[in-house]
Amino acid sequence: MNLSRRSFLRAEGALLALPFLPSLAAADGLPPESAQPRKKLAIVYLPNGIVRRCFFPGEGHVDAPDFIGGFEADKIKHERRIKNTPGLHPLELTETLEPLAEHVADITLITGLDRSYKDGQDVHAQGASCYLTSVSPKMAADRGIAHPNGRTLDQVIGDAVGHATVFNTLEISCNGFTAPKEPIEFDNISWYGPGRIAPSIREPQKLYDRLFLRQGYRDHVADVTDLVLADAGSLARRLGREDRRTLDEFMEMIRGIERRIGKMDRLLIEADVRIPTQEVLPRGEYIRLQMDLMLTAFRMGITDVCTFMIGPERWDATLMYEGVFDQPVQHHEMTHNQKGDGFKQLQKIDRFHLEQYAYLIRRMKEIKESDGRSLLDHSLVAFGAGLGDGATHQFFDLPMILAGTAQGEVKQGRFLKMPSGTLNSNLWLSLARVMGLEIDSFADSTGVISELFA
Amino acid sequence: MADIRNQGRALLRGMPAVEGTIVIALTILLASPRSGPGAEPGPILPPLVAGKCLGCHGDGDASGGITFESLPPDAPIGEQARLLGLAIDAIDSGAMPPDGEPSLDAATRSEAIRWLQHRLGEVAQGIATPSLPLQRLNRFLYNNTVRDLFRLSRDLFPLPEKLLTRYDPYLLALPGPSPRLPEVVHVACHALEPSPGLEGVKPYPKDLRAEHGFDNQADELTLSPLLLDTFLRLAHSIVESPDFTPDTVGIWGEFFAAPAEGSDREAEIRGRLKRFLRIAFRGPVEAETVDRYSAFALSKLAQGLAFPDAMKKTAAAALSSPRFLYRVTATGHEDMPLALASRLSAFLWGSCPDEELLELAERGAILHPDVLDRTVTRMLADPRIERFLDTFPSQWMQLENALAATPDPILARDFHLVPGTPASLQMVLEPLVLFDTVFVEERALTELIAPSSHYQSEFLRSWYQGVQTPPAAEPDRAAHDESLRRHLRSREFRRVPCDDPRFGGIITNAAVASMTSGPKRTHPVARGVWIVDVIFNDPPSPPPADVPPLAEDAADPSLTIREHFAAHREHPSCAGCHTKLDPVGFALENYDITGRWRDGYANGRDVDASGTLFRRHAFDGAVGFKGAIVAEQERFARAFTAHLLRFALGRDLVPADRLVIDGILSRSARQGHAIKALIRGVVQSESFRDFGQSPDADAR
Repeated sequence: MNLSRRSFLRAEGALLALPFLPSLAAADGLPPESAQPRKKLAIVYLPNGIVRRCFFPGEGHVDAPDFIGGFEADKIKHERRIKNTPGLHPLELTETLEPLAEHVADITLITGLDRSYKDGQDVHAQGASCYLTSVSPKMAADRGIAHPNGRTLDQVIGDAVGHATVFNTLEISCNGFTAPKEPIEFDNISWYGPGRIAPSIREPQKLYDRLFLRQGYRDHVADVTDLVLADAGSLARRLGREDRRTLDEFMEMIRGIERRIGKMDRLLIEADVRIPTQEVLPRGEYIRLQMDLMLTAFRMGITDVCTFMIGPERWDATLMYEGVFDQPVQHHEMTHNQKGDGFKQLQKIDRFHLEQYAYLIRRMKEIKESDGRSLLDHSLVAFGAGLGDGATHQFFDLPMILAGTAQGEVKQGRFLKMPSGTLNSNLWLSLARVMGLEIDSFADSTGVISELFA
Repeated sequence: MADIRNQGRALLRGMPAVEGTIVIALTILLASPRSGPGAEPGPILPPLVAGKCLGCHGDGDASGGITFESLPPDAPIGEQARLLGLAIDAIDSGAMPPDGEPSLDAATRSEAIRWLQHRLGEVAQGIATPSLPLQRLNRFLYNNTVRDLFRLSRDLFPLPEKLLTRYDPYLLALPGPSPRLPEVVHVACHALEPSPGLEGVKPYPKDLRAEHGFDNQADELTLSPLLLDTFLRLAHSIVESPDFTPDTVGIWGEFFAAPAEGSDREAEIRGRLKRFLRIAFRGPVEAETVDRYSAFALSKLAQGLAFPDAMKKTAAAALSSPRFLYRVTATGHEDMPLALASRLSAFLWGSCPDEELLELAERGAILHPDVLDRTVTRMLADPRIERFLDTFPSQWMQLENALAATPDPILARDFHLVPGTPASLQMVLEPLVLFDTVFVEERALTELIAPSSHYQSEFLRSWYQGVQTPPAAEPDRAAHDESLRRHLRSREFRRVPCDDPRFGGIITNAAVASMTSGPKRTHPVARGVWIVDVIFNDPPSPPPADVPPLAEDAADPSLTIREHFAAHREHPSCAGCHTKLDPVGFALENYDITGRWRDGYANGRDVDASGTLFRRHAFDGAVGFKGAIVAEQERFARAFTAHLLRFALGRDLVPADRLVIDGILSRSARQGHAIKALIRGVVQSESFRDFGQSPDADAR
């Protein structure tokens, strides 16, 4: 099937509905008629926490918590956390959650989840870079790793399911800051392993290039692979062991690109996708364009697993939120200035982010897969923050919303209150299991969250 | 002494064998030097450590996490060096003994430091330089290397990190006994709209600066699958760009153009590739590699490609090779001259070695100090030295942050007068042109802090000295605006004497003041951090996570910022850093959020910019503060050299580098630590030709 006369993107950046393309489902080599749409997983990350008491139903009466932060917060979390009655509760929407009104039947709100914190790293840096880590602080300490940013959940799942797609995983960020202010830990939740970043792509055009390889480039790679591998071999002979390992990785990456091009060639001949322009988009449009590109990747079989940072942690520079504020604001600074009515300003950002999430869910409902069901029906979309509350920068009582049933496995439309202190890694383990991984533990998990399942 | 032994009993545990000598520890501090700077083995230290240090830095307290009492028997030698370095810095800067304890008299202090440094020297000898990992080219190096390889007339892609565009070739001021810049230079900052580069060539992401480092640090320069994708795409897109033509490519005739009819095409291709690959791969290339690339080119011709197209494909293949993308450091003695040439060209030219450098390296001549010095002279006089001045100064001073400054549009209306052309585009030029001046004119290093003369634009002159508040009424307001707009576009910077000591220099300028301010108020702590990091190379640890920032909304509006911040220094977990940061940050309080002078705050209170530097130099404001830094010029020169060395080596410094810096400083003292003298010192230093000992070097 030739896609070349079709257009995926309208000028505004919204996706056109594509008819189902059997050849896409056949990317893994299965004959189209037997191909069952694969499950998709997206993990959307919110920076700088949320205004918790405006987010979860029934917490509105709580006073704005004082800033505690990081390690100190962790030590007294059992005194400070919000007591809840574990179990399943009907889902009501707070003011912050209102943008999800059209999706109440398709989401589950979860509270009571904690992360383990390892002292000695900035809370924001650890917040993002270790959000999905497979290495608990204790495991890191045992192995002498400074920061517990082990291979992340998306990579672990990608390892298992990525054979069917062009990329194991895709990493997207909506970092709209022009100033290179913060280290990489603040803008990347996906890591191949300790210190080995899976860099997130923040520019729509770069993302587009990553997804759609042009013919000239594919030919170039096919042409030079042998030469480049031979050069790597001759270079390796002159190097020490560490550097030879680096070169081995290089060669593996080259072969990976070659394999990917092979898969791509089977996927499509030439996708005539409108190239995003370089122009600076209003923040909402920018986020939605990145979401559209992610969905295109899901849709075309380019990947089944994607992490999506709706913004980077901290980054103390101002940013314009068109339609929300008249002036550029500093999200992180606002989390520290919530006294009086300050939190109401911050809540506007939370709501803005939920509007983007609502858009994503809506689009996933509209897009139909080969079996006539929606992309959302085949997917799981997690939406959460690494910090429980922006006011405290805490690592406990994390916010989480799950959307999609993953082919009927996950039950939706509920408010799930977990026993306080349930480890977030239990949720990650549960997601991995939904994606078909036969693993019994992930990081410091103690078991799956069985309440999720239908 | 009995008392000391008692208190320091734990110090007497056996230390590991070092180089065959059993070091029976007195402590790392007390160990008696084998051959000291004087005859006596530092008798001053034992009573000093026992009497003044162990009270807080003993095992019982270990204040600040530092104890001199017990190190585990297998304490790594690096840990000893670290503690010694901390002790030297703390005593030298006057931070220790702390407030409330009797301070050391000058003689005791310098004697103690002398012995500690000697001890550090001994310890450092036992520490091998860590080997540098294989590192990829950073974006700047990639651009320049490709440009030099093809002698390309323009940049490959936009380089917003290049903050200063020079319209006059003033860097190559007439050499002579006293090189001097012209009276007027023409410069501009195009970082917000950098020139586009070659059509169809997309840049790879800007390399992140290591924290308190540069964008060329080896351990940050790793390759991800995503980046490799970008590199392969780049290689292809460069040679295929419609802008890649005989007009833009200097080597077109000798490399891409078809050879004369009747010539031996195969021999011609081999010859061309041999020369080309040698530069591209930064060293001699074995015959089998030339064979492979020649076969590739011939196969392209056999496929029917025109000669220039076949050579383009071959060049693109070379740009995709790990031998081009990775810089190899020396793993054995025989590689060292080439690695040195590569390090030198990266340091000074931001590029690959040229033929002359390669030739010197291949012969090994480059190892000879005289040859090396002549080489540096040649490189400093080459137009490519501009690349050093395009990277080091702006990264050292962290000036890219100036363009991220967004002062409140109501408080700083003039800053944003022309949309897309913030005042920071003028501001950022001032410290950069000053750096150029001090560099070219070989002025004393302290001229960076308190210059005798500098270059200013009409815009900056009126920013500092002119009308501070826009006139409220027309037509005065329109005239004011028009004048600012005109000045904003001007590229003319004129040499003026610094007759108002409040202004000028890399500390007291609008760029630094703006980038260390928030939208509505100055951030004295950010200014303090900038000073201790940039000027004194002593970056503070990040703030502990458990401390709330100032709750500004709840603040009493009648207080000054200094009064708000008093809490920082009262809180014990803050005091350690903030007693260091706050006084230097507050020294700049007379500069408002855009670097204009103010005597008071909006609430009517007066600015208090007084303080003390290193507990020695009391000052009552920025002028006195700069004077205090000049008085401590050795310390500034040491810090600057450490930054320069880290930039040159592409790695963090190790204890032995501290001694190397001592040597560089003593050799450049006569020239007032002029930047070029420091560069020569860096290149001639042991560190520069030390590529580290790979733990598995002999395992290959």
